[in-house]
Amino acid sequence: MNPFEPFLDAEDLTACVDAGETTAAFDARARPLACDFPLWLEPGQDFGELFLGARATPRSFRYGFVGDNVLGLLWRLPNGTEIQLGGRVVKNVTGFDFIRFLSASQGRFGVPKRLILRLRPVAEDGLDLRLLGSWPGLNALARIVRSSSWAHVLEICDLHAGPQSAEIHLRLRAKTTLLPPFQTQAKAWADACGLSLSVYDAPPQAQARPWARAQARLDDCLDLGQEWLGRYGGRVHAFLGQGILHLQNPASTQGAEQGLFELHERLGGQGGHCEHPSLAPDPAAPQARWEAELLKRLEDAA
Amino acid sequence: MPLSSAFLDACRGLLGPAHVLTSDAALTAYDNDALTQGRHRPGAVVLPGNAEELKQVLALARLEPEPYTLRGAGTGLSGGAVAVQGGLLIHLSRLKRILSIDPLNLVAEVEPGVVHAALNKALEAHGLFYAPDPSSGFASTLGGNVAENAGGIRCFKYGVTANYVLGLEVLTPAGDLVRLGGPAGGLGAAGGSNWKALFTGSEGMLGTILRIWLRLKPLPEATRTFLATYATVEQATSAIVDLVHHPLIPVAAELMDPNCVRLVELSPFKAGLDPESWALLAEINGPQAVVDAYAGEMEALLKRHSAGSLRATSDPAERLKLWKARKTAGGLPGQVSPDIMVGDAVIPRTRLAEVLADIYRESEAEGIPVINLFHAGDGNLHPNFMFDARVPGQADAVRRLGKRLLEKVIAVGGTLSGEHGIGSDKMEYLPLIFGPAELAAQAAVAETFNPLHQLNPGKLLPQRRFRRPRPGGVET
Repeated sequence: MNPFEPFLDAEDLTACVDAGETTAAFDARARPLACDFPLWLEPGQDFGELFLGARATPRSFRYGFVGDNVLGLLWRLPNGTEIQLGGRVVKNVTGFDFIRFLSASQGRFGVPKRLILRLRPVAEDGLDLRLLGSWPGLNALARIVRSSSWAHVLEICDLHAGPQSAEIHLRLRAKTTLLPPFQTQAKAWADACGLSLSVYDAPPQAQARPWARAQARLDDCLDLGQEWLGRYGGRVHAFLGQGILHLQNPASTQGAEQGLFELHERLGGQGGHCEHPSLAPDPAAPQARWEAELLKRLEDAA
Repeated sequence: MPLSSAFLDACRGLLGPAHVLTSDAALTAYDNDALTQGRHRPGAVVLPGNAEELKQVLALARLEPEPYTLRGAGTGLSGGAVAVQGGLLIHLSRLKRILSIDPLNLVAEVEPGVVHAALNKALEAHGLFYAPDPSSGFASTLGGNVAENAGGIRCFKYGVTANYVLGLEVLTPAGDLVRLGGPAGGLGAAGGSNWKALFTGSEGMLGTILRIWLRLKPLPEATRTFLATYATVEQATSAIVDLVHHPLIPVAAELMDPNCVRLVELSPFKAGLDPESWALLAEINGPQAVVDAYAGEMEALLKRHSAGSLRATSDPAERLKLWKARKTAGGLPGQVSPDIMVGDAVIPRTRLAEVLADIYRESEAEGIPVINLFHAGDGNLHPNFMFDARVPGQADAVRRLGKRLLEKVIAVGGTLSGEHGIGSDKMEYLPLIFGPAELAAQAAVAETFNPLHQLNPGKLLPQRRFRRPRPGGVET
């Protein structure tokens, strides 16, 4: 059986898609079958770009990184050779884990031609809550949510912040009877943290192509977001379960690039990093040697 | 060629004589891991006591013209921690410090020899837990778990070890000492590629793990465990498919066949299971309100498939008893059979009944009893073929069974291993699933880091053999 022929198996909750299919187009096919691929940024983005560029998306709070949810890849190396990686099963340790390695690899090792996705069942109802207020209050809320039992079931826990205001978006998708107790819990959190609580009419959307990305320790996210906005303006969207910040539309890109370089160095000490076209991998690090050698060996072997 | 006396003396000077094992009596314990087939005795075993000693041992080992292999608790089931070409075995069980627990950032920093259960014990006081849950967790080490990308019972909801590795400090065979990620879980200042993903699950072939940063989770407020029994495999597996579709995503969905249930009920861990039935163990967790809201729905789902009986409990003691029965069941076939071969294939969940029927039919035809207990929600099969290698023909029959099972698995879109790894055990079957280009890609990774295959040879790919230099410079 060739698992890389396109399919949508709603019973097994797996699908093989072309890299050029948009997440919205796939959603339109999967939703009527009561399942979806939960990780996407903008509906018009295709799966190839999502896999190559993004580590996480809003619903990563529940479902993990993009690389955790891709089961197989038909991969085209830079020299045009195609190789099959992974397959259509939800656990797989047959050989080295190329899939997580190639996730967010920005095209350095080639591009996906097809992807096998792990799908999820869709819950019957949902509630999107907006908790708005001061940075210390939001920081306290983020800590409470992360260490709460609700962290096991929430789909989204994201920060959206601009120069004028900052808010945390919480989403629960579950059966309808669970939404009132969740709202009651969120109200208690809001009161404890001095925040206002409301239901979103239209929750904020993610950007597929932020100006830069940063990855930090979870508890540093809000402080970093506040600091960044204070210096460079624009907007910050942070996935608080993954410690990933999307830095969007800084007021002055020139100053922001220098600030990003400094932030990258700072985060590097904690095993974090920043991503932006101006930040090339360190050519003196062993990783640069590994990268060149692995790519050469892959192409030679193929 | 034995390890040189100069090398062993240097190790004794570094670690103390008690931590350099060379007698046959001491080495016997290292002939195999939990996979009993394929015994290979190392030339010596060393037990460094801390990261600095480990680095120095590795520096010495790289200069010795012998292979070296890393080992945690030896609970692996693919021969991954066995010195198949002899040489040095580096046992990491003394590197067992939990270096830090950071509740604000949900991170634990550990040495590779920390036992999985010891970490979870330490985390309890912080209201946290480490989610991956291999059945060997009472003994297996976190370094071994990372090397094999261990899974386990809770994978159904929480995923595998790779989902939780934020960072690794590794020392490669070429001597590169590198931090790949860290508590922030990113790439580190060097940027570039996500190398920690490639090292996780690399079966100890790419480098030595010195330090690990792991993502933690808060302990759930409420948990409810369900035990349903079914008369037929079709009923049990159709219940599994329904569980897979439940939007709450249960923590676990485990199946034990009647052969397994009977063994459990004869053991000290008996849990009052019906010995003629398939037993399905499932669990949900989260806030009390969520568990309460879904408990009735789960019971209805499990009953819908003609459950013969259904028990549901939130009582910690009763839950522990049920899970102990499931976890210890994995070791029971080995107590009643001289030899066992444990499969680890993964298939689409919708093909469970069909593939299980094949397993029973084939094993009956070969006269080899089989017990099935497995992570059904993930489609991860663990057939235990029970045999006696001393009986002529039985080992060959089991090999035939294993091969036919894997051929069937691949025919339905499955794979060779879900959590045990390839090791030396399934190496010969890789061409069933990989073509020449895919095999070459696997080799390219191994050779980038370990071109001489001095570190853990004889695993994953047949050509990964360490060639010992002969006097006069000719390799053998």
